[in-house]
Amino acid sequence: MMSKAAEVTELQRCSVLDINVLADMYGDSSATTRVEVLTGFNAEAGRYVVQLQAAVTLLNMASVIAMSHSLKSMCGLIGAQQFAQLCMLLEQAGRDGHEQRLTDLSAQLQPCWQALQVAILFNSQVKGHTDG
Amino acid sequence: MANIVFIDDDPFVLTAYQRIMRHSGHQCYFLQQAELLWQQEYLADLHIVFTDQMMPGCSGTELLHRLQLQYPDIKRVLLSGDIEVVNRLAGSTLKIHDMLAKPFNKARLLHCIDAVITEKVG
Repeated sequence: MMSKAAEVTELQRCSVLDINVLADMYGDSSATTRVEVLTGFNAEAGRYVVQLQAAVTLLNMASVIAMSHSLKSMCGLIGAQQFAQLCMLLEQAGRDGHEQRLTDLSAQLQPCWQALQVAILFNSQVKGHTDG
Repeated sequence: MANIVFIDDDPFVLTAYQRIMRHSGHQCYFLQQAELLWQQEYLADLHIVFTDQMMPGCSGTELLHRLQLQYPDIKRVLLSGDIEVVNRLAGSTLKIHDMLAKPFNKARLLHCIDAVITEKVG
């Protein structure tokens, strides 16, 4: 198991949002698809993050596992690698029933989510790829 | 053209499959609840069922096992972020035609469909 500091470093190494992954996933690099997908992700994932935060606070392991697993899948579809990595770690801590590790990791939840929000906002406005 | 159903409890993931399969030339259906599969009029005409593994109420392997018993001619593909699930299938009576590790891209999905239809896998 990695140390707390090593886990944070590992998270920081991950790309917050790799738009090339999104384009590859959907086989479409148009700005229209990118904006629609990111908008859809924001609406859906935001609700899951609120539920995940609550589950972590209550140490409801079943809910932590379910929410982090779903978020991990969703992040994989848009290239949100940092948040996907955090969700993977949270899911594993939940499966292991490791409360302290879960609490430690949860300190990264809001910073990582906010970083992703900023990246989504940026990529929803700037046309990095051509339509068509 | 194949008749294909995708089953996943996450609406965003299901919408992604819908978007990926647009203009694919296949007739696709999308279900958010595994149990609804048995009520679909198109069930007997399906060629492939793609299902997520981790779903509330009914896992993908449970669903595919029942499908194998009741509709053995329909091809079965499991979608999971946990590649270890394949190892756990060893020794099981469930036989799947392919497994896609999540996340997968459009090219991988279309290749899988082609391979399963032409029975290059399974």
